[in-house]
Amino acid sequence: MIGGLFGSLAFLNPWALTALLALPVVYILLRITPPVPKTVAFPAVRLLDGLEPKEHTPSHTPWWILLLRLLMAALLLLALARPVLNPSQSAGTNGPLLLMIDNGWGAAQNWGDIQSAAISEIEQAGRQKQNITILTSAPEADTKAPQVYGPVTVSDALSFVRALKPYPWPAALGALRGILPDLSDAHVLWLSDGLEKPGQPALIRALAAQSKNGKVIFHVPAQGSLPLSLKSPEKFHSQPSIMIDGPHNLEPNAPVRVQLLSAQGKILDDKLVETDGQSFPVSVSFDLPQAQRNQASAFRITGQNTAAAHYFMDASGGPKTVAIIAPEEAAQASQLTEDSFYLIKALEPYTTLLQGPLGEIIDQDPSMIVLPDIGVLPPETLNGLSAWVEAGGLLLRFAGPTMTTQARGQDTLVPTPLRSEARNVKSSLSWDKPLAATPIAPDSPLYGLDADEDLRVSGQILPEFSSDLEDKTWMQLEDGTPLITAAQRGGGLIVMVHTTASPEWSNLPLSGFYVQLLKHLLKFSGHSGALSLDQSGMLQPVQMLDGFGSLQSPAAHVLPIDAADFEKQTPMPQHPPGFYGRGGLQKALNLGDHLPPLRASLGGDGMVLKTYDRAFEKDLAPLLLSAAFVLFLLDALIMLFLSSAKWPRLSFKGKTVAVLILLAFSAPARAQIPQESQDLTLAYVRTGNVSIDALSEKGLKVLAVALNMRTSAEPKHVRGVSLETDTLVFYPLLYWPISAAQEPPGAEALQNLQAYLDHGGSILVDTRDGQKSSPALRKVLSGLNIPPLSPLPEDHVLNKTFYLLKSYPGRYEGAPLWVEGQSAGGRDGVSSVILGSHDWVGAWAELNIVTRGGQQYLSGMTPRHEQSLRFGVNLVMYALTGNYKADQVHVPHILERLGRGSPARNGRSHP
Amino acid sequence: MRLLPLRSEAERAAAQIPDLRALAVKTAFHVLHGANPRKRPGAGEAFWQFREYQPGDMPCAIDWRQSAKGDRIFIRQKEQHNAQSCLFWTKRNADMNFKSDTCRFDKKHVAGVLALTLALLHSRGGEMIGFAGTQRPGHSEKTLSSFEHILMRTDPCALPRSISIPRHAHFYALSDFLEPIANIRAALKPLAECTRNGWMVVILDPAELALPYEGRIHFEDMAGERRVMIDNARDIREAYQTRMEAHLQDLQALAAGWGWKFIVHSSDRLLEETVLQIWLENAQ
Repeated sequence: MIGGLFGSLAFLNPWALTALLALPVVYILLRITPPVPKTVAFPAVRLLDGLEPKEHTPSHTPWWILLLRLLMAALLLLALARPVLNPSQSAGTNGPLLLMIDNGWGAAQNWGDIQSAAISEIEQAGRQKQNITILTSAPEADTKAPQVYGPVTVSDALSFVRALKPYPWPAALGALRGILPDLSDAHVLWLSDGLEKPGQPALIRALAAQSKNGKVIFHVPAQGSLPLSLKSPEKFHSQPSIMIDGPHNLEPNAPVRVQLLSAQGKILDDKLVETDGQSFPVSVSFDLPQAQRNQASAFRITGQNTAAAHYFMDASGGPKTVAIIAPEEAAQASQLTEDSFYLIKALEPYTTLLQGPLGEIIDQDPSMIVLPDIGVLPPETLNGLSAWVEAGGLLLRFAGPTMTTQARGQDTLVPTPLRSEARNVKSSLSWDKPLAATPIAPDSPLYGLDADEDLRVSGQILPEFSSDLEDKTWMQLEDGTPLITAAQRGGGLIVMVHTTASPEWSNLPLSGFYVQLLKHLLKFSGHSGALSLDQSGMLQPVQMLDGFGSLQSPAAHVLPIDAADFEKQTPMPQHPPGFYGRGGLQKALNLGDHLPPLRASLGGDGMVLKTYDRAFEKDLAPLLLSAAFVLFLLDALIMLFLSSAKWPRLSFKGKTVAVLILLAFSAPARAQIPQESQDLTLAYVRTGNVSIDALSEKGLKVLAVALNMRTSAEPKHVRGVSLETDTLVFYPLLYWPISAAQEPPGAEALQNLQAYLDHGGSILVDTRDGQKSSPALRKVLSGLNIPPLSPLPEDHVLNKTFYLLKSYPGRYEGAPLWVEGQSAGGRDGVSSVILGSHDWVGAWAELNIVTRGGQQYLSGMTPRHEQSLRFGVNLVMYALTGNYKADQVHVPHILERLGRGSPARNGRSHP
Repeated sequence: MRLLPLRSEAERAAAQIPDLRALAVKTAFHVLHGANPRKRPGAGEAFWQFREYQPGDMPCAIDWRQSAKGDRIFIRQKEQHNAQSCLFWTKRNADMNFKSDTCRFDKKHVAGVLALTLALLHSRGGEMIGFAGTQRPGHSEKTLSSFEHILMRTDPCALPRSISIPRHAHFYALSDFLEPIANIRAALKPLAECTRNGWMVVILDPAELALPYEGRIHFEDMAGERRVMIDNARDIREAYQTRMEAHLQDLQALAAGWGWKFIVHSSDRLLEETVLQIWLENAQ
């Protein structure tokens, strides 16, 4: 082996180097070989006939060609000798290869090293023509046992190793002991993730017994790159906090950076934790303001790629806002007897609390509205609240003394009709003791919460008995009376707790169950439409973690987990870590919570410890062969030049081609691509009048929302353009509101506009006054070169590009719409100017855009607005598709829509 | 540049001959006037002699003035003048396209310019010029320009074949004369019998004279038919030059045998020198 600057070099076929002795012979041969003769045209050839030169020694090959050829020969011979950079230590070991690869959760941290080590070992075994057997450590998803693969040849082993991935669950070495192959005198390697696993010493002994020298070569990563894990903190913190766990038998010396992420993956906070002087596990907590705390959903250790380095909190979809309606001012809310106090205290850590009059609260659309002990509401409040609930809101009501004394029969916002009196066992005349609650039934949506054993309810408002009371009961007391009932109302849910929110009638608010109950109920919020009150208690898999900690949709083999067993479930192939749940309620199964304390593998009997080194064997033969080939090509090129007596002159064509090739390789300057060219943008011409511009903008935005909802043309932006300065070419449609007070456009603007129209732009000119003709129009359009306009005929394609229209009202109706005459050739008959006076943007701007759940909707729609929107949609489709709908192929379908189709066509659907 | 038309080059070359007018005056007026007195009675213009009328002579030739002086009847006889013709022949096949690296022009171009220069000079001197075998000799500008066209054409014949020229006309043969001597003799013999005023102008490229090549070379002729492979061109240089000398001497002997004149023009040599040399020898 030859040591060198870049690592050591070894030759696998050293005897081939003896062929280098032949190089001088090659040199002599090349020297005496005469060079290729030139050809010369010479008329006096006859006189040369028969002339023999006296000495036949040919002229010599130039020395640099000799050098080139010698170099080529030398490279070829070197390549034959198979040089290898950085050969592994055990070059020359015989015996079949038994490779144990760790692919449990910890292997994801150094997976690159593990794979490269495996590949180089396999390639080396292949060079020695040995068989390879591969064992993995983590159980497979389908067989629930680790894999034993082999004995196989090199190519199969390589493809197997390349396809291997780490799994997000712990290894199962015990299962491996029974299925070990029986080899002897094998070369045994264990590529481990560095952590000790249960059953590891026994397995090592078993493997060492099969190895050649009784030792297993055990690769571990360097101490700084051992895997760490995150687990839930032992104590409850009001701030988001987490515990970092690492190998307990090592002194931690490197700082660890932990990040707190929101549900969208945004980093809310990160902290660098110094671990010097501490021992694992180390606790970290993040100090955040309220609003950000609610967004916290996951923790992550940076620099670690394993599944255990990600910790997810139970997901309930978005920040929660809760409004508590108190009957009086909030000044008394701090009193210990007040319901609101307990509610505020319980809800504050997780939610944002809203205050204010009910109307405003409803506008803000909270996740849940809580009505603690309110009997009668003013009618308009009641209506507003009912409307909100029916639209998909969650209403939580608590019972109380006020509820009993107020008038009955008016209160319809309860899940079931209630009795007038409350049952109170606290009075001295009752014989009953305060009631405890029964455990929550599996079919209740509250299944999974453990009711406190000390829960005692002494006061309760009972519901009237009805046939569906069973279905509506979510939690019962020991005598069968319901404590919590709920019913769907329209799109929303009303939940009623039949006791007070303060400790007046029960000790519910004093228990941890209260907090859990409120938290759990919040998960039902924002759930308009079908509320899946799944009758079984199984939590379905929603998202799974893969070995590297990224979330993916669950594979086929993943099974649901019973809600009661969720806390105790260890991640395994059928239940990988991830999110399980249904609807708005998702519980997170985190790997770190279920791992034993981590320990690093520090050697033992039968083990030879090695760390992964980055430098692996590199075969140089292909490199040398390709270098020899390049030299060969060079030599051929030179011979080509030398065989002609003069330099081959490149013809003009050749020079042009060479210059073009050179130009092609120069990096082209990329023009700045404006955003408008990427997305569809609606544009209006800025008139300079602020109110008109604002109106145009709003109107076009409304049109954009309508287009997004109804058609496949989805404008992303609305932009005001100036005719003089902006490039108009990006906008398919331009809206131009013209008023009498406007100046006619300048020369440059007219030029731009003309170019725009000539190249296929469409412009909607709107005089916004409802008149049939207007002098302002003449002034403004006089400078433009457009064909004569005529009123829109009934069968014009503009009437049928999307909707079938008969009228195009804006704020005004009835005035004619002008388009270019039918004889307009050029653009396939598509009119570039459409002239009207209906003030469409005025009509469109009267609608409002409402954002709900990430989607935009329009509110305030009337039939006239609908018609004007339809015209707008038709217009945009016309500008984008031109004459498409005028094609005869659409006629039968259009006729059908108009109700005049033949009976034979009734079964057909639209194109 | 090789793109100058032959004519302008030839004109330039012709104008360079400083002694033209002096020579012309010196060679007496019949050169300028183009008439060659034959010193015998014939159909010329100048008076030669009076002769007594004999039956058979034309009555209109009687000179009555002279006859009136005596009793016998005399006829006025004029001198026989032959307008001199100069005929040219150049070799115009592929061989003449050869041009070595040191020369600006190929042999065909050189031959053409040389021929045209001589033709111009003769024509100014009043003689009729033409391309042998192809063109009727004439004086006019039209003759000259068609002469130029013929010079530029390609003709695969290496040697003049079945050409007739007027007796005692001037004849110029411009070629590289690389064919075997026997062939050249056979081709030019009929012409040599017609006239003794012949010129053999050998036009060769300096590379053909010196063979400046080195190394292993395949020599092939311009048509690509014959090929000779020479291992070491430098070595055979002397032998080749000897052969070329011998060949040129043979040609000179051949020319001298017929009374023709001989000159070798190397195509890198100044055209004017050769023209002057030829002209001077013509004048003697």
